[in-house]
Amino acid sequence: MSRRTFLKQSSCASLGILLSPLYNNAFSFSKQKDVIIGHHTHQYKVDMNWGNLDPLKTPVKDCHEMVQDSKGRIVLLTNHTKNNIIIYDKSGKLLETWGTAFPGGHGLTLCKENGEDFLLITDYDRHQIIKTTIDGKVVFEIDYPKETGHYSKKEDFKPTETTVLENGDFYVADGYGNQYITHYNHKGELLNIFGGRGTGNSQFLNAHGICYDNRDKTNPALLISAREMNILKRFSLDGTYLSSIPVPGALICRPVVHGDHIYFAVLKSKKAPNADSGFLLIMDHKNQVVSCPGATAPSYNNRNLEELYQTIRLFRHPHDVCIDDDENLYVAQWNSGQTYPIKLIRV
Amino acid sequence: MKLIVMVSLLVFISWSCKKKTESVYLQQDQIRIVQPRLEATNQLIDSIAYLTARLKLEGSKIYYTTNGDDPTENTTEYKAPLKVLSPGTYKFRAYHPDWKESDIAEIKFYKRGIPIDTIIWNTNPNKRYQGVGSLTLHNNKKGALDFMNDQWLGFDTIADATVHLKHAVFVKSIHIGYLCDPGSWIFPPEGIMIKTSADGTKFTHKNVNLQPLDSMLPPTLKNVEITIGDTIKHIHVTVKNVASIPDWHEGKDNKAWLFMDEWVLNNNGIR
Repeated sequence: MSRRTFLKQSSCASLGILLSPLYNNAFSFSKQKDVIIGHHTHQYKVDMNWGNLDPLKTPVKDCHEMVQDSKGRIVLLTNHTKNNIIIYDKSGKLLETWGTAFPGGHGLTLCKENGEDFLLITDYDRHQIIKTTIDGKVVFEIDYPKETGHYSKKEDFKPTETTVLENGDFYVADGYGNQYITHYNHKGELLNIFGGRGTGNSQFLNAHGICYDNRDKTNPALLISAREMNILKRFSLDGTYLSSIPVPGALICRPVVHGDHIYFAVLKSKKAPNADSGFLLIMDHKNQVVSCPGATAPSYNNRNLEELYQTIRLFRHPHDVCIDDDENLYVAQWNSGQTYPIKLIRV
Repeated sequence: MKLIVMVSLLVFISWSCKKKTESVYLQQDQIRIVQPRLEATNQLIDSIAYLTARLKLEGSKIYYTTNGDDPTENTTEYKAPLKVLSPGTYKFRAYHPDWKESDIAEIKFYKRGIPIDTIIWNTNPNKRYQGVGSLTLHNNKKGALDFMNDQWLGFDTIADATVHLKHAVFVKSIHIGYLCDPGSWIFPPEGIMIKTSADGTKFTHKNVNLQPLDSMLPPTLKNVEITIGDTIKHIHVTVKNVASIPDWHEGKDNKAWLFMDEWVLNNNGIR
């Protein structure tokens, strides 16, 4: 206990206040309480003012995704072409902006090569994946995978997400297009394609996000969200279907592996009376849901997860989460009235 | 000594209050809880239906009314599923000691209508939203707020069909149930035209135009009631979808979806 806390508690105790059950009512003239959301090990306070900027100078449209770079900075991708990339420090102070050429900027992934940071951006409007340096110089652009025979025109390809392996290979999820997952080497040469639209085990409806899961070093896998189906699917790196993890009621965006947990923004609840019914979802090392900030407490009945749904009207359409090195979260939101990200402080 | 205690108490109170108002974090009383989820076994009743209200949020309580008034903490508390025996409107609201109260959740129960013999379609629903087939609009089941629910027929064009009854009967009105969910590009109909006939040759026409939506709304179950007031055996119904989504919506200039769940022929006040 800090000296400050000790002194505060002693003075309260000497007045008999700390022990009084009436304290909250009798001595708290304001009924205000900090919001704490989430369950079990993952609970958070909410800072709605983090990262708010002058919308005339640094506007956002949809805030699609966020990552933390090697310098600890928080990098945001918006589809506003005045400043597609906005870089903050962890306190929410604006550091720099760049990018005017990503009208459908959607997926943002950090990759590190020989100590240097790069970004992979998917743009569903340009039907491309663009690799840039961390300060915005284009390294390469990849067009739709015509040679696979699964695409007849570029408009069929609307990539939503990428994920990168240690060797530089990367995968692209075509979540708004024909629902295929494409696998490239570090030079951007196509190696494999799998998935496709459908309800079979190895197919997707809205393959919105993809993430390399190397928590088990001996059995690395790909986690791919089938958002419309409320399912997280696991695939081997060669594209073989492994298993499905249902998340009833939750339209999960991309999975984000941090430590031994998986974090998701949930765009909305499946059966909600209000359209802006999103929340967050956190799975543990066994892929069991342990916390749903903004929603019902997760519970299992005979190993089956019960339907999850929003319980408080905090999030609008959360679209991505970024977990920083202090275990705090940043939430980027789609279609939320041009709002800046929300920061959640772990308690 | 007494003075010191009093001063200490005042200092503590002012320090305590000041600290609370200075919090940089979001406060609970700024955030609304979600309205209760309602589930009914049946909304078109001829005997009994059961209505369940739920909100899985610890500490929340649900209150309701059956007379059309807005629920408050002074109205009846919901504790168990309700038996619904007659048509009417049920309204629910959730309260919590710390959070702001929810919006109102509302559900309507209707009297089961005159049995429809067949509906012959001249246009078809989109293949993704075919409900439970040709019976969808007269199987006495309302759709849920989720447009993926199998009680919805979804059209991206005009819906045009002829309803046939077994015998000519007096029909007071036709009730057309639809979904309003502009967030999913599902809009109320632009207009409805009905042609009614007792003999299948001579028809009476009636047109109804609906007020266009002018802002985003949460998903809502809606209906329009069109007076007929005649003895008829055939009704030709044409429901026009919104041909051009208005400027305020992200889908502007595109056509809107039209989702319908039930057509009910009412015979209240049979002559």
